[in-house]
Amino acid sequence: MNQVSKSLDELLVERAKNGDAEAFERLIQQYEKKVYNFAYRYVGNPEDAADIAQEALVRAYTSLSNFRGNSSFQTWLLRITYNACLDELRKRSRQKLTSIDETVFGDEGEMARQFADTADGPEALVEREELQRTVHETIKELDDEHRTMILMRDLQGYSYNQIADVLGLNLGTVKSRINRARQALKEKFGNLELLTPRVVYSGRRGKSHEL
Amino acid sequence: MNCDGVRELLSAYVDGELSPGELLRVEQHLRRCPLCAEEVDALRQAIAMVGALEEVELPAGFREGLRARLAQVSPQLQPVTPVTPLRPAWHRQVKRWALPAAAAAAFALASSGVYGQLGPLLHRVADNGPYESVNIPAPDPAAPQPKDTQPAVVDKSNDLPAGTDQGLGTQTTPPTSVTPPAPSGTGTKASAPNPDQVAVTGMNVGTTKVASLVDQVTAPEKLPAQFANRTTVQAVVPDPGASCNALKSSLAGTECAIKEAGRLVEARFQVPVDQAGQALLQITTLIGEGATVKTEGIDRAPQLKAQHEQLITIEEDLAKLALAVDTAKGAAQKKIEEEALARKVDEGNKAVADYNRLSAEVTSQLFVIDLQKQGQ
Repeated sequence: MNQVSKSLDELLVERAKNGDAEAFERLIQQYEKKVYNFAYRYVGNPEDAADIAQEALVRAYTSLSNFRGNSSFQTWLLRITYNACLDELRKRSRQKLTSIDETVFGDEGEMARQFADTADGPEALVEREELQRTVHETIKELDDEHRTMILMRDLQGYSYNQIADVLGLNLGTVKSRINRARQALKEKFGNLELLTPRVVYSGRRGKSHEL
Repeated sequence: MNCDGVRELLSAYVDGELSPGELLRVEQHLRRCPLCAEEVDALRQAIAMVGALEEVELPAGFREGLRARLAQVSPQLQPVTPVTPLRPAWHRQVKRWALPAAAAAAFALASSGVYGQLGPLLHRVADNGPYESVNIPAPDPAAPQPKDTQPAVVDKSNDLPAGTDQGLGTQTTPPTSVTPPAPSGTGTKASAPNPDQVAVTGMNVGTTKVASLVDQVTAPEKLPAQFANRTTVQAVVPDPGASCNALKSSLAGTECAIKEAGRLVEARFQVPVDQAGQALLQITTLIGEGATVKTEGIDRAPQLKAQHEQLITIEEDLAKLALAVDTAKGAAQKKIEEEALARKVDEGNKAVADYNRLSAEVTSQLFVIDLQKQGQ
């Protein structure tokens, strides 16, 4: 996040805290999509994701006065979103106890809509759509801790420090968790034969690891 | 090779999150260990696949739902009906929210339009080989499909018979049947030889042609001048229908007629002389290389004569019609007058009857008076 938008966020937060509704609207406008996308990839279906994202944004509004500005607004919002996701999972596990039949979430419609307007040919489109769906499903299958790491780091690009901040962990733990999460992901991709093995030449100094 | 202590650093190495000491150690190891190098590669691939996940759009109704929920927790953030915005600040915000969606819609519209019109041509420039089918929306889906234009109208989904020489995915948008401009008079007499017709010869089976005619009218009046220039641009294109439509939209505002006869598609444009150069430039740009351009002077005397005759006929018809109207008018008036007269006669008769009755009464009264006098 660059300096300009950071200070803009700070300004907006300050104004929103003082009751400026428009400032809060602008903050939402800036982050709602990112919040929704995190929730979507975390819980895996658009209906729950919309609910979670709305919940998170409402919580952000109601608890704005508690925001001290020690971290950026973005990471603060990510923490709220992540907690809302956890709440949803808890709700689901409670439901599982009472109901054996689990709802199968159909999100094909969502995926189809998402890629319908690309300019590629039909074959490339189908291929790309399939890959997107596969990656989505693979992430969905990861266990919660691994999925959290992959989404924060590799999908949304938060830094190790930011993730440590959001999750209340020290940097070393974040490092090793990200490593474990990627190992798990890599293994799943490997089983699906999605990774291309490459011949690595170690003949030239300093080249091998750049492949 | 001893990879212990290095493997678990590779993930952070990919992110550039190693301390200088760790980095040195990993880099030295990677030079000697193909397995770990491959591991780095696999990690990078896995990360890239997650990073390539496309951002999904907010579902429909998301913002409305959010607004409603916010309004529940804070009266300050009241949802506002679009008709009566009560709070100016919020209203401005609503507009700003609405803008990206509207802009996106407009962009999609514009780009699809451009794609439909210019896409195939651009495509063709890049590839002169067998034309790939690109679905071009017909300009008017309601336009009647020409029946006898074999292989011109080819839906990609239709299976062409094997050995159809023109198979090659050639696809022609059904030409809109545009009636030539009225003053030229060509549209009215379908079978009559058209003085403007340029015979395009040398049609080979197995090629498709588009001939474009630019008539440069020397005077921009409604009726064409007697002397004009005609420029013929001929080119073999893979998809004449699409090219014609592209030309038509490119030269929007000019009079245009598109005709199709077998493999020959002819687009005719009529432009004022001062715009002819510009039009020709547009046509040659769109049709591209390999086009032959020929300009000739034409004498429109026969055409003008025919038009003149037609005009005279129309004037005669008009005169007859006016006469008929006058006659009818006269008859009607006469009838009205007759009716009025009859009414007056009736009134007169009635008045006479009244007079007679009154005078009779008066007479009888006079008679009574006379009798009284006599009685006295």
